Amino acid sequence: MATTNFVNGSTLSDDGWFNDVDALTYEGLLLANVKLGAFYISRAGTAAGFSLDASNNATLSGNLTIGASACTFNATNGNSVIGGTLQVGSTTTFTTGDINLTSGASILAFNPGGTGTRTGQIYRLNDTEILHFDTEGIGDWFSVNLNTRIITMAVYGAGTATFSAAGVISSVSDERLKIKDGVIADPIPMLMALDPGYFYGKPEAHLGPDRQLGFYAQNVRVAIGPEAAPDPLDGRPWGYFDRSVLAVAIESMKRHETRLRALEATI
Amino acid sequence: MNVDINLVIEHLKAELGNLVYQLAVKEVIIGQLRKELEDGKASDAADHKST
Repeated sequence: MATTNFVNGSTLSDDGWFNDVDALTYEGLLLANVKLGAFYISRAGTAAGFSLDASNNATLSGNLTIGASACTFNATNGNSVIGGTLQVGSTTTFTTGDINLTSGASILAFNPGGTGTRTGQIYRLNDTEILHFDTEGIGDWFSVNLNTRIITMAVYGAGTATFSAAGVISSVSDERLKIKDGVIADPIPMLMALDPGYFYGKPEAHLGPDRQLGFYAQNVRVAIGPEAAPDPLDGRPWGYFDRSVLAVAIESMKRHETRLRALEATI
Repeated sequence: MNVDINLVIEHLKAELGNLVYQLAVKEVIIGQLRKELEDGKASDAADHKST
């Protein structure tokens, strides 16, 4: 079977189809600096897959659908650009370089072992095992390290947040990045106005079926102020900052300690 | 190890809710202690005066 090679600068027009799939299955398809429009590669059955090499700055300007299973998408040499939707089969292996998704682009991967249900999961990245999302020039990136199971968000509240595999949430709160603007004058009225309670989430809230204990953001707003529960964005639900509540709690404990010492001194 | 981040966050919020509740209880207890001490002082002063 012949290998199908597209040399630099080749362009396949929209809606191109490759139905001679055996040739692609075993010999591989080399795409180097090739632009694809809406393009489909399909293969029926469960025979061994093929390798799609999109290295060397391949540009996929339209949708690329790989209907076969057990195929390989190789983008090792960087900066492959996907302008549409890259849709791959059930056991596709990604060999990662930089895959840049242009605005509106996406990667859809079939569920491992699935039979065609698109779940949007990418289950294996061969290189660094890091799934990284970035908005170019802004830096509000978000990454998932599939080895350590650590999720990192560059922008989350006041600093960088990290969610570790052990369930530890940590975040940077660098004093050097803050302009101080006062302390809590009297935390006790704030503390006493807070009204935590038990609740169930409504179905549309996706909070799970279990009974929970916590706060209501509107109550936090009244008790502490807009710094703790700012106005929500249009149409979005209310939220509050746990740290604000924690600050009130810590400051309250300090006041309690001072007052208890004063009371003890009178005994 | 699989971690449900939503579950972790909800757990932390629940812990914080518990903490705030306990502090509110502590605030009430401190107020009662203070009142009892003040009442005791007043009573002692009255006893002292009557003697």
